[in-house]
Amino acid sequence: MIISFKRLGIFFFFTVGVFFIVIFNFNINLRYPFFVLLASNVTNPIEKIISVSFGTRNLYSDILYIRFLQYYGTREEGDWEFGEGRYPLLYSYSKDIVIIDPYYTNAVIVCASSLAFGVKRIKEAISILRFALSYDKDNVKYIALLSAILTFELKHNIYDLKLLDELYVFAKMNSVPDMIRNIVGFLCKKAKRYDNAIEMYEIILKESRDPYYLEIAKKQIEYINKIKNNTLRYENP
Amino acid sequence: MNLKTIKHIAISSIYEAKGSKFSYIIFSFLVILSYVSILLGIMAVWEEKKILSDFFLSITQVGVLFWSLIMLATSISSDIETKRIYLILSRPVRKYEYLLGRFLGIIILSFLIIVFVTLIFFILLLIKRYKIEWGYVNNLGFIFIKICVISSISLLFTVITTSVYTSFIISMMVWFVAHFVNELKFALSKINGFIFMKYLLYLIPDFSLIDKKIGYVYMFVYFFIFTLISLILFERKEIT
Amino acid sequence: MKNEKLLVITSISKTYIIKDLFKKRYKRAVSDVSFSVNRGEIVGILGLNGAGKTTIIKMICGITKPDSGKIEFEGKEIRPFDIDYKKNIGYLGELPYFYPFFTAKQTLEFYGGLSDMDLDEENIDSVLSTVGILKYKGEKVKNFSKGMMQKLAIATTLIHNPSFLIYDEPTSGLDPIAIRDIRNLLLFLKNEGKTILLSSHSISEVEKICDKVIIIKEGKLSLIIEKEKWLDNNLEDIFVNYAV
Repeated sequence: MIISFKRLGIFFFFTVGVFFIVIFNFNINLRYPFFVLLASNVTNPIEKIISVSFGTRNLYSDILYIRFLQYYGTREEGDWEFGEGRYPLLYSYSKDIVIIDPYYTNAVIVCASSLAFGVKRIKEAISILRFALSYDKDNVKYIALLSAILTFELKHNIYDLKLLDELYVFAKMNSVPDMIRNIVGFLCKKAKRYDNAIEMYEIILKESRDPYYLEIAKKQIEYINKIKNNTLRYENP
Repeated sequence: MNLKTIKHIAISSIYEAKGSKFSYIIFSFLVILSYVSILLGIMAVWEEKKILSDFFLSITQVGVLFWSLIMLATSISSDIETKRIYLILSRPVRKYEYLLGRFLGIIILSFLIIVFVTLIFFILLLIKRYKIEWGYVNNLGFIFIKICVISSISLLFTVITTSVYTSFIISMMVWFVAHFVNELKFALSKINGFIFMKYLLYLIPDFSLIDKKIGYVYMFVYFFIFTLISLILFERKEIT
Repeated sequence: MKNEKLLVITSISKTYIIKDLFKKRYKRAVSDVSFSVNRGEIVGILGLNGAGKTTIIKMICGITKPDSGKIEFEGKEIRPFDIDYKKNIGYLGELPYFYPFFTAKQTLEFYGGLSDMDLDEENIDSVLSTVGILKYKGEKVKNFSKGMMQKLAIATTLIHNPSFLIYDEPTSGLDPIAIRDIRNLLLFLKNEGKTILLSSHSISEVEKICDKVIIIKEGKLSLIIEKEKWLDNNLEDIFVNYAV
């Protein structure tokens, strides 16, 4: 068999190409929740499979969001205030949206806010945000809402320390605005996590260019140090 | 390789596809769905722009996918069944030039359909006084390269089987699996065994990797390899 | 130059592999066929259905590769799928089928383009006028009758001005008037210096225009007979003796 340069060239590119795609395929890029999470009270698993397999995931999440709005926008029977009601399936609708597309910020914010402040089911709202943040770690809006929910809990004397610790980790990320860091610092101080609070305010001092937050940070660090010096030991609440 | 011949066949392929009944059906379908998108957008209140954008991306993707798979399979199969291919191959045209011309004609027309639907979308955005996001164009790029890859797979199966149905069904199956390959790789990485499946998955295109840094290169390599295999097989095939 | 050999076929054979579900069958379509075609002649290939006429033609046109044997054109051996050789031939298939949405003009432009021709309006009009369908130049092919389609097919074989024309059953399925038109056209082309090889079932047509007839029986060469020899006898009787 005569082997020409053309054939050799084709064979070479073919081999290099196959090698490249096999190596590249070693990447496991689980950008979306694993498809096994299909069970739902409100949607058919077939819908999810079809939408994802056709590559129309984003459109399907939009349709789920419209269903959510229709459900929550329909007034329930009984003597309820605007936005209030039992809405037993609200969490299921929200979960479906966040499973299909945890990057759909506006929808996730609306779902979590409705659960937290509309029907007062804080745990469910936090669960939705936690799930979304596990995929979209850099999403400042989710962190902001989480901190808002914690502040709301604090007003009702609820201290969710596990969530606070998670929020503390998120708030240290580069893209988080000063306002949220300030809230998180405040929450840490209230929960007697003094070292975390000081660290948060030090990050503000280091990275912020807003004189308002710089001023607050300085004062808070001073105040917390005084508290620390006045106490004999670190009190774990 | 005579580029003039390939260009000639590609242009005739575009004319033929343009005039076919199936193209009119898909076109009408896209126009009707464009109208439906407006209604859907209204229902979403503050998310109208996102819904319009996602809707147009979805109808572009699904519409062009069906169109390109069916047109590619039917055009080559009909040439072989009606013996029109003999009239072409009796000219100074190599087999692979014919196949490449037909294939490129469908790819070019797919691109033009994508551009046309995008123009409708941009006009709709301007009417509704929304800003045009250039990220949408990036997503269209992803869609186009996915269509190119799946068309090259359809070309391969059309050459092997010359049956429209087989080629279409297998291409659609690969399309579905390519969207799930990532999840399957993840699941198999947690289990011992299934070595054959794992190796097989490394060969199937993984559409979730397209948004990585050299995702376009990755997809182009697949496109190139499947097209090359198709051309080689067609060159050796006995057409009876 | 009248007896100059334009095409020489030497011992060509072709076997097709027919793949059933579990096994392969071999069908010997053409077996050890040799003949030649002189420049300026019209040569006819006669045979029953399935005799191997179309296979021989496909091998000559370079559409199918012969399993063995040699094909020489103008003294040079043609390698399988030789491209340059195809510039000199014009092939008309058994059932010509064109893109239905093209007009006659677009069809000629398409096939002319495949032969690397840059056609102008004058070339196209001249060829359409030769075959007698100039007035249907702008008409879509899907509206053509069978006779017009056949004439268009002949036009596509002439557009690049080849010296050798190969027609597979050019009068198949046509009415008597259309057959007469095609016959006159073939004679006209012969007078213009073209060499024509045609296959047919119609003995009467072959009798009227061919200079030489090749009879094929079950893939093998049965008889080659010159025009002078069948003028005294009935070609139909000769065909029945050698092809059946």
